[in-house]
Amino acid sequence: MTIPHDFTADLPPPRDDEPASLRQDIIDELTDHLECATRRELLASGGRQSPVSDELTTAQSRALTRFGNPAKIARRLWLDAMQEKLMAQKITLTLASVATVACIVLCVLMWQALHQGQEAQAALLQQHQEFTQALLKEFQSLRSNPEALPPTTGWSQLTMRLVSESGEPVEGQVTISGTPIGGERADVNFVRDVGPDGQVDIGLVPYGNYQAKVVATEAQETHTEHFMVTPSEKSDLTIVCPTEPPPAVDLSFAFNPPELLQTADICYIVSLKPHARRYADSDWNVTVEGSDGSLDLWVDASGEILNQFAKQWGQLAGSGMPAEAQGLKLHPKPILREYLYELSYGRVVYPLSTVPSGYSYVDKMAIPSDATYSPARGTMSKSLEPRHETENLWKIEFSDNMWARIIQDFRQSEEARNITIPEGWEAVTVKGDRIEGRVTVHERTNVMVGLDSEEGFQGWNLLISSAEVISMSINAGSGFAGQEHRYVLLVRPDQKQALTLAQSRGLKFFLRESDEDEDEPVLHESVLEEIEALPVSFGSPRRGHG
Amino acid sequence: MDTKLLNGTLEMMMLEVLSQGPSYGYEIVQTVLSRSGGQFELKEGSLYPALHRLERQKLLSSYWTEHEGRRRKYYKLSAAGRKALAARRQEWQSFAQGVNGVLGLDYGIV
Repeated sequence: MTIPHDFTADLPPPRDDEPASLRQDIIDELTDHLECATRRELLASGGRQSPVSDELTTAQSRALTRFGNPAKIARRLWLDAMQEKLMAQKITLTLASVATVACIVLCVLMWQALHQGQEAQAALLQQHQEFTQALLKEFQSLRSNPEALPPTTGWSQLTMRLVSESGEPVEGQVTISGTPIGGERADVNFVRDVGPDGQVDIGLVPYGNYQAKVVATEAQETHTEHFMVTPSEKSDLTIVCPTEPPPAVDLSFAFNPPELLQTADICYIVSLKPHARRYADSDWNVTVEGSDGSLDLWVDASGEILNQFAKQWGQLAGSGMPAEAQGLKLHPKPILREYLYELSYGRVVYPLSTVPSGYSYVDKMAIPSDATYSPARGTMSKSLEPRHETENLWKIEFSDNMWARIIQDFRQSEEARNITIPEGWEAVTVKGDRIEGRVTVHERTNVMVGLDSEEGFQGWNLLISSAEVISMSINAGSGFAGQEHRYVLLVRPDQKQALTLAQSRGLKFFLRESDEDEDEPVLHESVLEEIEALPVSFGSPRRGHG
Repeated sequence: MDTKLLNGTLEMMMLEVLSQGPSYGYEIVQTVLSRSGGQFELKEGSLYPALHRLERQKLLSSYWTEHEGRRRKYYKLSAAGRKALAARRQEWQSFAQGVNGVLGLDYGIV
């Protein structure tokens, strides 16, 4: 018997993941049931062993009726068997769909976020530009109107005004220096010129302690003002300045030296150090660059100030040439003004009697520059109040103590001097590390040659025979290497004619930088003996020194 | 009979049939229907899904044989099925007693 029914009518299409025997197992099981049921129906109807077609059809129909729709039952069984896989597939599909949708949504959100981010960035940039523009406008506004500048933490606006006692503006210069308080800010130090309006805008400075060195240009005086800059408070300093220097005075020295010094050919170097003067309740000093304003006055025994000579001497000290030859002008006596001075007696010098022909020969003198001065003994000084004998005429007197000190210095310096320039002798100086002179004379003469340095004068007497050509070579020695020295050639006055002749016949000194190719001449012993026999003393001659 | 009332007990009855020994689908269905005295107006085919469900639940195992040229699938109660049957019988007895008590029926069904 074959059940005339298609069990697979409602089954889903075959799937790759379904068990291979699933469909057949379902069909076989249901077929077995229906076959059994058909047989039962046939037996129940008293059927025969070999039923006719109608009986079989009826039995099959009844069996199907009692069974239900086999195709639907088969579909139900197939679905139950495949339920887990179908569910897993559905879940997978669902998850994939959800993931796809999520990705799409995420992409959309990211795109939106990116778009919004770009818009936000553009808006932020626009806002920043607007802020910058506003800030620039604010800066420009504040620059044009510093009064509107808000207080800053730790910095303050500093302005200064230089005015006269009557309130008129004063030109000058201001040097601000000081140390800011706190932090690690560097020290402040700068200079500002103050114009005709007397105003100077220093700008912002960190708070701290400062000093302002004010120079009043017209008065040539300086004042130092100490002040403090406090945080966030505007500082406006007003300095009352002098508009002209103190009155000039004529100064002379009323000397009454002791007898020993009355005939001495000396002069005195006196230093005057001006003290500050009070002006508008402030101290003002003489404006002098690089010193405390002290003046060195060269004063002769009569009390006359010889600064013309002193100045010239200082200028010519390195040249060895007369001032006229250099076309130099003599400097006038310095202008002294009304200050309280501190007077210092410096030293005694011997400038005068050996230069009877005038100041132009000052430089030619063999002056041991420091022969009479010992810094170890210190200086003598006292404060001098100007004594007005007449208006603006000051006379300064040395006290007895000061004269005693000068005498002491004088005696010591006389002993210290190792050269005395004989009366009537003249000196010719040359400079250089080494000199070589060829002297041609026609008469017997004496010539002194010496090295004048800061350590003293070291000289030799040379007896030059008539019509003799000699070579002189003086080497400064290794101790003077690299220094500039002054060699002195002295001639006795009674033999000056011979030297004059010699000079006229070509006395020359040749300066050489090096003596490598020259033979060192050695003075003969007989010559040295004659030198030592000379009545004048030049200290100990150095034997064998070339 | 109400199918809702039947659904909860059909599987228990199948397990009970198979507790007597292995059987195949038609025989199981007929046994259940005959024992019920015709009270269950069920389509015979509708019992197969329950059988397959019990098999997937490992309460039944199955095997195939040849009978008159046809393949026949036999079901056998597993150890798990036996435990489940005992539990469901106990539940049913408690339920039936409760229901009978409420309904005033003093006779049991077992």
